[in-house]
Amino acid sequence: MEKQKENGSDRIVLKVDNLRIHYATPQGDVIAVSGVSFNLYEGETLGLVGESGCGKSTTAYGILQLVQPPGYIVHGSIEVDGTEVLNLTEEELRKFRWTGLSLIPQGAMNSLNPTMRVKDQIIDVIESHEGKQRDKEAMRERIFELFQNVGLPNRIYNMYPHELSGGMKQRVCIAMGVALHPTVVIADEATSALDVVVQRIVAQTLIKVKDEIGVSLIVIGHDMGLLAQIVDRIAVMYAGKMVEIAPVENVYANPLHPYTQLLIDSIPSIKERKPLKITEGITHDPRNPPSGCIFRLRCPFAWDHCAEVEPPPLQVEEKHEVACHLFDEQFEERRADAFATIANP
Amino acid sequence: MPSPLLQIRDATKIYASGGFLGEKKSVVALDNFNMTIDESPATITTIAGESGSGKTTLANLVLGFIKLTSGKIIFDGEDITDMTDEQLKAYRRNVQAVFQDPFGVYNPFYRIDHVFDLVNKHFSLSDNQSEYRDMVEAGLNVVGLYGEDVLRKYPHQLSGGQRQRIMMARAYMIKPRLIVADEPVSMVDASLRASILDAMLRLRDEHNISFLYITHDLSTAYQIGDQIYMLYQGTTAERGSAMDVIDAPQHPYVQLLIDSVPVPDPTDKWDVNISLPSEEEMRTAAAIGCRYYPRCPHRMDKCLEAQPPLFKMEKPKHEAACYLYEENEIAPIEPPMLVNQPITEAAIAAVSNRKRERLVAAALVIIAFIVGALLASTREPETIVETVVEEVQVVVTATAIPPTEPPTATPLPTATPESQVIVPAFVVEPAGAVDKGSITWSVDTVGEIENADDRHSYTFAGFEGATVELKLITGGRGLSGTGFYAPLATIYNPDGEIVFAFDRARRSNRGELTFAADGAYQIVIGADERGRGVDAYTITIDGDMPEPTPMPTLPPPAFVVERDGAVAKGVIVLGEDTGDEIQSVDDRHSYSIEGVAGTTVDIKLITGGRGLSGTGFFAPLATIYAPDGSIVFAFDRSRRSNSGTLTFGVTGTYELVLGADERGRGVDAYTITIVDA
Repeated sequence: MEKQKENGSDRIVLKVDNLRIHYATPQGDVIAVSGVSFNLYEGETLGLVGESGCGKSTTAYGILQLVQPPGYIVHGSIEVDGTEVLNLTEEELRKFRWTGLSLIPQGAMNSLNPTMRVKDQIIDVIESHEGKQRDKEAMRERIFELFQNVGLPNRIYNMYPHELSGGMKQRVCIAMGVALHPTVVIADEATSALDVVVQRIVAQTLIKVKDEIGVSLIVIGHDMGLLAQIVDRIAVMYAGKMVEIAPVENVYANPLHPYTQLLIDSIPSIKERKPLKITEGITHDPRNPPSGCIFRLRCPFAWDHCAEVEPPPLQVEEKHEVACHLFDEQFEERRADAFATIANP
Repeated sequence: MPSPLLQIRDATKIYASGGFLGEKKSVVALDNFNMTIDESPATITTIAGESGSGKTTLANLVLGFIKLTSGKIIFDGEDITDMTDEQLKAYRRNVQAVFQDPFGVYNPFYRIDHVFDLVNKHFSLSDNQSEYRDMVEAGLNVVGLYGEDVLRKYPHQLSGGQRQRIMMARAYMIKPRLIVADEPVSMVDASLRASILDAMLRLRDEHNISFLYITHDLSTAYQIGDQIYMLYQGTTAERGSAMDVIDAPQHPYVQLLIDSVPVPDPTDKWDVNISLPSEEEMRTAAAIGCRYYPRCPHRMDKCLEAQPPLFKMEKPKHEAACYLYEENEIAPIEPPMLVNQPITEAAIAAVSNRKRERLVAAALVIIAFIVGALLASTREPETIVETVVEEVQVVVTATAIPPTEPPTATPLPTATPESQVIVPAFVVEPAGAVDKGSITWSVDTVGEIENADDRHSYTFAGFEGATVELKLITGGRGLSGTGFYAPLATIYNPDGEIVFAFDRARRSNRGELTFAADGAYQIVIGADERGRGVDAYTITIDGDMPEPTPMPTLPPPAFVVERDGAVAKGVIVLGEDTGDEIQSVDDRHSYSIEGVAGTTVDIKLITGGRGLSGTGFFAPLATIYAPDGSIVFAFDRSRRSNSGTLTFGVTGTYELVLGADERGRGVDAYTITIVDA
């Protein structure tokens, strides 16, 4: 409860508007992200979820301006604290990374330089933005403070990455990500390669550091259990579109979009045995998405209207939007029917 | 008593590195591990633990990829370490593997059918093309796929879940008795995992294939696992039924592990104040005594003396290796090994000879070392490792083995099915049961339990002394058709006494019943008080037919059609496709077929779309009516195939009506073919 108050800020730190990213292929463009818009509020942790290929990582890499060819941003706007990231020059962008936006990559094992000591990698990040630091002692203190933030022992200062465990390497990445107090940190599946106990330790560290340093966080993941534990809001993506964005409590207790419902239903539990809910993944050709609603081919409630009109995001509550025609007032009766089906499966 | 399928006794695997000049390090990956998997019923045995716990080592040992340092692995009575090439080939047929990465195992340049062609080539399954195609189709059907949807595709066109199920289908075609599945779902999206787990349950329940399911994901183990072994640094910390262990873990490590599984409920957040071990602590292990000592919040001096044996917990077969339970009885050591050949003196001599040879080899290697490191380095690394390992092993096992009786002292367990107390699945007031009719021997009877109070009752004739095989299969292919909770059933004898029960305690969907007296027996099918068993089901009673076969009972309708509710679409010409689409729950398409008495037709119904309902899980439903309006055939939820045959009883115009059920399943495009057989 206390946590909610803390994260209740209404100041928008990141505003993504109508972002579209394509991957060029000889058979035509694959639409990876298709008109995604959302806001990230100050001090908030936003979870970005969806099955593989839904565009969640591409969205994040788009925000960071790290989309690699053949991928390219078709259009959109990404504002961080009022700065339009897409208008930055190469040099400005370099400065902006780590201070405005930073990334904690997937699989920290492979993102640290194996030939550099831990301290040198962190110093490198700091010096690339603040210039050569003369006071070595102050720098050391600063790094020790970062270590303390993420729960690393000081003795790893002089170690090489291969001497650290997976969880420790992941913490080094967190330390680097927050070293320059960026406005927004994006953690891409930061804990998915770790054992559950270590995953818990690292995830808790991430949230603690976020609160202490006061950054806003986007966590990309597919572990709905973990996200329930650490995020404030969840944005659900399906085949390049954002289908629902809502406070985490709403998503788990009362998912609205049929795809979100499917996602919540498919969470395996260790509390009760329940029937397996069998679904197939995204089944349409990403070069040639269906007309109207992107989910209609798999949606149990789709009707003619869904093939004709693409559902716009509808605000159903504060900070809760859903892109589904069922929540349009004119289809209220249909929604009641659909939900009756869910209530009595 | 049948011999167990797989027995692992005192299995130890030590990896050694360094040596001679460098600092010698040895890692005990598996330490005196014991396990027994019964032959029947098939089970899913989960091996769980964090990385470095030895679970993948165990998988590799069972698959024969690496060799034990000491101990034995016996598969179906044969020691897998001493197999000839021929035996090894047979072993590979019996034990198949499904791996973690559903992307890496495919060659991206070949279509999916290539996978099956290779299997056919390697295992010579069939020379006959059409027979072979049927085998592939059957394999794919078992895992919920259809050949025409996947065979001509390239791997990248399929989802991870589909690719992993194709691997299961591939394994199934070889008809193994055990599948070692190493993290089969961990690289697949959560929403797609269910389909793989479902395939595993089907293979277990319908094809009697056991699984060694290696995972670090406890939630899937909880959902489908029968037994679970929780490994910690190469030892069994706790084992028992997956539900018992995960519901109420006893070992401190397992408690921490289960407590750390994130709960998918934002209102039930982690207690952030709990002190978690630092990661360095997590990697350290005590050299002697309990491996978990350095991290354990309950550690005692005693824990350093010797590794704790497995103590019995409250629930049957639930055991934990922790001195906190010292006052409990020590779990008996595993039943003696059942090896096909009795151990002869010659065999014993051979073993001791082999030991001597190894010692000589060890001495030779040491001499070789002294002669020069160069010579040693040109040797097969495996040889060196193994030899060094032998020395290390003496030290390790000396402290690790809990005092046990020699195996021969344990009496052979005797088979006691007759003396077993039969627990009713539920007690039925016969008046409350809905009488569905009678079961005809060897013919399936299908139905669906709608809710927790629904009871179906069937009667069948029993004859004194006759033995029948019973088989109860969960029927649906839909949401509830997961095989999780086979419907529960109780059989009453003519006196109303319970003589057989498919209940939760029975971990099999099969059984045998010998009738004690002639008379009408009653089988009542229903759900337990927690609603488990609410599902479609199929029950088969197989036995020697004591009397001439009565006419087979008709299948129940896929749906009941009001005759004027069906939309007539035209006439099906035998042998030709009619493609169309069911638009809504109420849409019905009706076709007529001219049937000639005595002729048989093959009917095949194919789902056309690839949407939600185009998954092959919900084929459109269809019912065939005879000229007199009676139902003679039904593609319904319980039918586990999209094809069937029909022999026309009379000459006349038959009507085929297609549609969806009341829950909208079957709303899809379809193609129907009827071919003169």
